[in-house]
This record gives sequence, C-alpha cells and structure tokens, in this order.
Amino acid sequence: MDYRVRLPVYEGPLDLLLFLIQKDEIDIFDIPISRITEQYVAYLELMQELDLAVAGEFFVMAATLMEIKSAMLLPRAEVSAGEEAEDPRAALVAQLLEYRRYKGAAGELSERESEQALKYPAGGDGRFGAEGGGRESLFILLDALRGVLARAPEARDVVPGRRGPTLEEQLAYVRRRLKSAGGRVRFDELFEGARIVVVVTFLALLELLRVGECRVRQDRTFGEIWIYPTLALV
Amino acid sequence: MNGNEEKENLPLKNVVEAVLFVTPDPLSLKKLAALVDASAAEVAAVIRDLQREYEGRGVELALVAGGYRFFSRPAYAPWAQKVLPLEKGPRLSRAAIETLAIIAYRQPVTRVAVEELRGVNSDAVFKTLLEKKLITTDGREDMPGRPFRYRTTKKFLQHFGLTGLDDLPSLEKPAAEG
Repeated sequence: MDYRVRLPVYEGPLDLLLFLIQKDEIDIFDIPISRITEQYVAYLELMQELDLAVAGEFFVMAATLMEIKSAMLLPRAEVSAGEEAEDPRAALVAQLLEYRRYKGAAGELSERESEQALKYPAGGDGRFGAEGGGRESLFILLDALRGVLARAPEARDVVPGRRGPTLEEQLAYVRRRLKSAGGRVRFDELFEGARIVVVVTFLALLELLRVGECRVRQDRTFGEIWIYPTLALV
Repeated sequence: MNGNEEKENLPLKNVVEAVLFVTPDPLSLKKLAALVDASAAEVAAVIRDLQREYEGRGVELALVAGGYRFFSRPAYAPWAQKVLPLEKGPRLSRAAIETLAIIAYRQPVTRVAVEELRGVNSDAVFKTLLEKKLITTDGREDMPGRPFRYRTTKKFLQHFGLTGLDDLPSLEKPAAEG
C-alpha cells in the first residue's frame, strides 16, 4: 500500500498487552500465554496491514512472548527437587504490573490537566496549543476495526482493474459524514464496502484524529465507540 | 509628593492583590512577603481574606506550583477561550503524560530507566517535554556513559494545576505477587 502519511503508533507493546488482558478479563497473574500471543500477533499483523509506523519494540515483544510460550511447554522436571521452578512469565508480569501503576497515575494526571486547562491565568501565559491526537487508545479502535473487517466483503467483490479509494477521497468522505451527522457518528456506521475501502477509511479517521479534527469517545469500557467532530471554537 | 508615606498607608491587602494581579508566574508566600515588605503570616492572612472576597466571582486566587495567582474560573472558560483563541487548552499526548508521570514519581531519573518501564523508545517524547520546559536535566547519573538525569519543572506543576510534588495523584501500591 502506498500512502503518503505513515501514521505513528503512540502506544507501546505493554499497552497492547494490558489492553488484551483487560479486554478478556484475564488474571494478570495467570496469563494464558498462547492465547495472548496469538491475539498479540493478530493485532501486530493488522497494524502492519494498515502500514502504521510500528515501533521495533512491538516485534521484540512478539519474540519474547513466543519464547515464554515455548518455555512453558518444556517439562519442568529439569529443575532439581526443592528448588522452585521459575515461572517463565514472571518477568513479563512484573513489568506489566509496574507499568500499569504509572499508566493509572498518568490517567489521573490527564484529568487534572483537563481541569486546569479551563482556568486561564490573569494576563495569559504561553500555553502551548493542543498537540492533537495520540490521546485515544489505538487498540480500542483496532479492536473495533477487526469487527468491521470481519463483516466486510472479501476483495473479490471489487471490480478487477479498479483501484481502491485514495486517502484524500476517504478524508473527504469522513469529514462529510461527520458534518452531515451533525452530532456524532457511530464507529461501525462509518464503514461500508470492501476491505480495502474499510482500511483506507480507517486510515483517514486516524489522520483526522491525529490532527485533532475529530475525537473518539466510548460510552463505557468496551462499549459503543462514537466519533465526534471537534467543535469549532465557540 | 511624599511617595514613601503614602506607600505606608496603603492597605496590605490591596498591595498583595495588585501584585498578584500582574504576576506572570505564581508567587510564593516567601516571595510575596519580600516584595511587599511584610511577614509571611501577614501575607497569608490577607490572601485568605482575598480568597474569601473573590468567592462567587468570575476569577479565583489559587495556589499552584507553590505560589498564588489569579485564574478565571472553569465555568467561564468558553469566554476566556474567545479572547485567547490560540490557547485552546493545553493537551499533551498520552505518551507525553505517561512519561511525565514516570519522571515525576521517580525523579531524578535517566531516560533509559523511563524507557525500560514504558517498554518503548522515548527519545521524541523527551525532546518535546524539554522543549515545552515541562522537564529539565538534573546532573548526570554516576554510571557508564554518565547519562543525564531528568526532573519535572514548576511549569509541569502549573500545567496540571498541582500545588507541589506532594499533590501528585497517589501511585497505586505495587501489586502483591500470587
């Protein structure tokens, strides 16, 4: 696929793992490693299909997961009696737990930031403008995209020789949809047509999120996803 | 004109109010006391009076980053935004806030230590945070390569409306294994 923009993935492999763990309500102290590895790789492949700029650390983590998976398959008998066998997952779990603490604190800080943003100091100051996207979790969107793709007709429905839509076309399409909806658009209702159309529309959505033209809200954790146009300054 | 004598006669509360009205940065009690030539206790007392007087008004006198400053109240943000359209609310990226959180709790800390925790390269994020003066270097770590150590700045506290580092949200206790 040849797109001009290569959208960066703002989150790391630990975020993806925590997302998968939360999504399936998995006990972090007893991670079903082959299932998680399978899902992790599926997301990684999807990100590659979308041609997102996936950080190298994602591939390192994939390798780590596979290593743990094979270590789990080895008989533990080699460990001499009395000595407790080290769980191959232990180091990863410790890392996830530690990371999750700071991620939680960051979430609270983010709320403090929003509150403070509504208070303007006397005389003004050099506040920096909005940084745009990167705030919504990509994995929530990828999760929803997987659902849409599963229902999308296969590529054979596309007329041979006809190219897929361009990113520009889909940017215009998403903007149009957001405008005509007036308020908000449900994520899955934004997509129609074959796989390639869905994929390019999704990239257009990511781009609009990145530049801050729209925002994404979820009713509740793992609930319905809505896309809102960013309100023009009142 | 007898400036000195008149200065003596001006109410301390008004002097503090005027100073806080124009300050571009929050002023600590200590700085205020030195500025207006009064004791910290006297300044604290008039600040309490001022805060009471400003209740129910469009602005408030708030303690941020260890100092006092006037702010418009959140309810009036839509109008403030009309006057200052370019300052449309400072939103940092998820990665930036997460990195700041780690630095804030662990400072001084090296970039490598932050990257180990986050599991991703944080080069670009550190650059942004340094540019925005939300973090600063704080000497070098005594280890091979002598990497820089970083800490958060006053601007960090102001940005998040924290009175000080002890006002950070409490960090979840390390989970017990098993």
